[in-house]
Amino acid sequence: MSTLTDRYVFAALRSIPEAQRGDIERELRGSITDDVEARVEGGQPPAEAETDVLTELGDPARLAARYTGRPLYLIGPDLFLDWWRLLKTLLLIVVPLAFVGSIVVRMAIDPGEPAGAFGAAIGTAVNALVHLGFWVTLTFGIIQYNGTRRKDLGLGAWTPAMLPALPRKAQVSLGDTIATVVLIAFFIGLLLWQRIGSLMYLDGEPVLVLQEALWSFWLPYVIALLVIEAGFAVVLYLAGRWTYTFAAVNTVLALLFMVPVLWLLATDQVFDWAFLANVDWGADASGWIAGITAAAVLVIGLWDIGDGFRKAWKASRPVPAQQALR
Amino acid sequence: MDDELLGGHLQELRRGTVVLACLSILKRPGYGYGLLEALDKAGFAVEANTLYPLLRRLEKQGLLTSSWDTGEARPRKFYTTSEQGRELLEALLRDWDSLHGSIRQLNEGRQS
Repeated sequence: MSTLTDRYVFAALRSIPEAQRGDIERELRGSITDDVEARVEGGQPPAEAETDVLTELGDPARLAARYTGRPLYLIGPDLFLDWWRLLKTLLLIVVPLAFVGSIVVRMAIDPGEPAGAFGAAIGTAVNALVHLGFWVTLTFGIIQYNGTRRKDLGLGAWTPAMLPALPRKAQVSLGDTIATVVLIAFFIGLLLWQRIGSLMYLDGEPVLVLQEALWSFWLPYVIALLVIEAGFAVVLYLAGRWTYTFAAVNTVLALLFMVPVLWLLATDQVFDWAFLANVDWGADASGWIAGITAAAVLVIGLWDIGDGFRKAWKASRPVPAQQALR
Repeated sequence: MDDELLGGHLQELRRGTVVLACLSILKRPGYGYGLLEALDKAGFAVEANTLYPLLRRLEKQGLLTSSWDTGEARPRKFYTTSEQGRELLEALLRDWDSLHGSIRQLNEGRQS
C-alpha cells in the first residue's frame, strides 16, 4: 500500500482510543482504497487519485475528532458566557488590588524608590491579568474537554430574575475608577516615601515635612483607609451607579479621614516644622500652613460627602429606559 | 440571488436529512464508500469525512448493525438499519410529511 495513505491513517488513528483503532483502521483503509480505485477506473492516474481522495477527507485530526465526538474548540457555547463573566469579575477585582497592594508593600519595604514601586506595581498588575486569563481559561478548557455540561456543574438555567437593573446613567466610568485607584496608589506611595524622601529638597537633603511620631499609628491608619477607599471605588464601578447606601459609606470614610486629621492639625501633631528653619516664609508660616491645610481637608471632605449624596439623588430619579440606554 | 446565502440556508435545511437517507438506503446492507456513491446519486452531497464517522455514531446508538464481509477481495464493513433504526426512520418520515404539509399550507395560504 502506498505511503501517503499509510501516513494519513497513522495520523488519524493517533488520537483515537486504542480499543477502536483496529476496526476504524480497517474500514478507513478500505474506504480510501474503494474511492481511489473508482477514480482510477474513471481514468485518473493512481497517485493523483490517492492525493485527491486524501485531500477530500481533509485534516486527519479533524476526522479523528469526528470519530470520537471530541469538540474542536476550547470553550463551547454552553460554557462560554460563564467563562467570560467569571473572567471579567475576577479581573476587575484582582488586578486593581494587585496594583495597589504591590505599591503599598514595595513602598513599605523600600520607601526610597517610588518609581521602582510604581513600575513593579504595573508589572504585578499585568502578571495578575495574564495569570488569571490563563488559569481560568485552562480550567474551563479542561471542564469542556471532559464533556462536563453546565448543569453538571450545578449552574442554573437563566431566568428573567437574573436581568440586571437598567443603568439609570453610566454614572461611574471605568476611566474615572482607574484614575481614582491610580491616584490613591500614588498618595500611598508619597506617604511611604516620606520615611526617607520628599518632594522638596534643600541642599540635596530631603525635607521631611511630616512628624516621625505619626508612623506609630496615624500614617498606617491613613494608608489603610486609602486602600479601603480604592476598594470602595472598584465596588462602586461594579455597581454602576450611586445609591444612598454608597453615599452613607462614602460619608463614613470621609469622616474617618477628616476628623482625625483635623484634630491632629489642631493639636499640631502633623507637620515637622523643622523644615521652616531653612526657608524664609515669615514668622507665622506654621500658622497659615496648618490653617490652609485644615481648610483644604475640610472643604474637600465636605464636597466629597455632598457629591456622594448629590449623585445618589440623581441616580434615584426615574429615567425612561430610552434615555438610560443612550 | 446570492449563491453563498442560498448555499448556507440549503446546507442548514439539509443537515438532518442525511440520517434519513442513510437509514432509508441501509434497509439493504451497504458499506461506507458504496453508501457515499448511492447518496451522491440520490442528490445528497455528503462529504466522506462526515459520513464515515456518522455511520459509526448511528451504530453506537443502535440504529445500525454492522458485520464484516471477508468473502470478497477486500474486507468490507457492511451496515444494516436495525429494528430500532426502522422505527426511528418511520417516526422521522411521519414528521417529514407533517412538516411538508405545514410548509405547503403556509405558502398556499399566502397566495390565495
